[in-house]
Amino acid sequence: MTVLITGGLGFIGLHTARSLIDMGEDVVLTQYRVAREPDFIKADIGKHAFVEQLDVTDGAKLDDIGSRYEIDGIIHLATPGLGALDAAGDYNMNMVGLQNIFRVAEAWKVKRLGLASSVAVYTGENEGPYAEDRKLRMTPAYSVEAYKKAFEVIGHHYAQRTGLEIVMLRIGGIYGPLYHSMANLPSRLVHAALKGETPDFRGQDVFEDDTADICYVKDCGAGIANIQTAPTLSDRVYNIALGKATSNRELVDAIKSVVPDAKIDLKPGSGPMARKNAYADVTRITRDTNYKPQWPVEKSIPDYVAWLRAGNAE
Amino acid sequence: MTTLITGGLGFIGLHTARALLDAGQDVVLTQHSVRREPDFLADEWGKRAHIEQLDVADADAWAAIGRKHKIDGIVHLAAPSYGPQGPMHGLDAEMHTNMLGLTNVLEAARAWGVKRLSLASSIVVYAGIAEGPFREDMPLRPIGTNTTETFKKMFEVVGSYYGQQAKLDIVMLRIANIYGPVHHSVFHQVTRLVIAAMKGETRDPDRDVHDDDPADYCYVKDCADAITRLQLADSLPNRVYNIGAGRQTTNREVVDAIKRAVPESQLELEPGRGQGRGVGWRDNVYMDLSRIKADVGYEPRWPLDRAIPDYVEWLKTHES
Repeated sequence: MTVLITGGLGFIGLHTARSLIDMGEDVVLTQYRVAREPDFIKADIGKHAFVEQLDVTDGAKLDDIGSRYEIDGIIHLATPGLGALDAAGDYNMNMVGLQNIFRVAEAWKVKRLGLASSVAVYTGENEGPYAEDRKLRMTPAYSVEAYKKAFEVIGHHYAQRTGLEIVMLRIGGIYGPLYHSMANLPSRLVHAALKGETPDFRGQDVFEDDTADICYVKDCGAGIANIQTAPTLSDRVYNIALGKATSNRELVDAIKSVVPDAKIDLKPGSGPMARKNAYADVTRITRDTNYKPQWPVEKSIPDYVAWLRAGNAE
Repeated sequence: MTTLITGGLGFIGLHTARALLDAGQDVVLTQHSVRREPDFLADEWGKRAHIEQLDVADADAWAAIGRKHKIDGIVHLAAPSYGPQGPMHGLDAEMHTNMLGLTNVLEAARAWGVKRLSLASSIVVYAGIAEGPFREDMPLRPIGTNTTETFKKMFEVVGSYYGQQAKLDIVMLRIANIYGPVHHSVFHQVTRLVIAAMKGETRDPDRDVHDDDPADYCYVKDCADAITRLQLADSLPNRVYNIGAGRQTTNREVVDAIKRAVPESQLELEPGRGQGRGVGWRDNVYMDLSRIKADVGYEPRWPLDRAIPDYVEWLKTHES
């Protein structure tokens, strides 16, 4: 079995590749702008992992990749960088890319196509837990929210019309090794703690009791790999997350357990944006696959810090 | 001021053109596969109404229109024709036309600096909502079970974000079940019943139609008025608007109205509802019009007893 992972040299792509290789699969990882070959996959390059240059809007290049590998599964993670392109560029990469992926998935007769979506689709929902069958607003405020909703709507229809097995992967707030854009709080706090700096809260107050579903990238990679390799799936949409709410206090306690002198000052209590039960319901993925979240913060943060201390901080 | 209407020679497009002309606008109507020049626009051609050939997926054709006309508003109604009589067959063609069509219209709106772009959506986006009346702020299921539901939802989510990103004034038109003159695909239930009655049929030739099955049936002249008001309003406080009759009409009410306009009608319906309470049964299946009424003063003016006679008169003198 060979799985094509678009955006495979990205943060989530590499961890997904690691999980798939551990399950006995081969992977073809595509890269566009971001190129990284971290230690944890180096030994497999050329054996179980193959790297290809790909702009997903380039259909001919996809055909070329298909002629050189026996690809029987696709995980489509490639996405334009946040704010990297203008409106037309964003549209083009998302939508033309999607059409190309549909076309080759059919031509190659792949067993399953996973489309990266995001828990950002739940934006605007006040109270959790967020289950996959919720109805959602159609007036997105963010690029990820907009295009992932479009992917889902079209993905459902395409699957229904063609019989192609398409699965929507609603990926949670992911942090961990290789994360570099620093948009999410756990990675920012950990990096700042290791540098002995006070973290950049980007002008926002961060409250002790506010919670979020933050998911370690090793769980995420395993979740995606479990969905991709499951013999059968009973649904088309799966949350991939920790499945529990972690408070900022728990996060900071976990960081201080390994970086005792971390300088992190949180506001007491909870903030105006606090949401009740702010976590993704993972009943569906744990029922239909072997996925089981392994990395609560008290385990993941020491693992992440150890990785950064081993010479991997930038 | 000139408004471009894609799909302008289609059913809703022609009536929208009439309403925009009546509001003092010039119009450029694009056509792809359907070409009709009804008499209600007969005096306008080449003066205030112009026709341009356009495949919405063809960026060069868009640019050519921009060179020829000074467009300051766009109403995007064009949609691939889905029926077996239409030229669009297959999912790839639909994807191509809808996706490239959307990016081309968005880019044209940006390049031409139009004041407003209206994107046609549909009442179909409310599929899966257990009960009406349907309000614009209702959360919707993020799936597409048919072509219209799929691409209208895609238009809405991508269009509303794109508008924000590119600083465009974009409005979504959620259009109900529209009937009236020039409608030719004869898919719509009211159109089918009116034509069947005038042919002396006793029932819809192809469907079991039940007395008590309801829908938001809206006359095309009301629809065109609503689109025109939204397109021309100085400023709009919302991005999504329902366009419909704002009430639930049963097939029995439709047939009764037809009998009054066509006394020789032999139409009969099946009793009750087509499906029992459960799958497919929904209450209050109509558009909530609070928003469009408050924001642009829209008020439906064509209830069945006015609309059906108007439509029947038109059919008597025209090919359906």
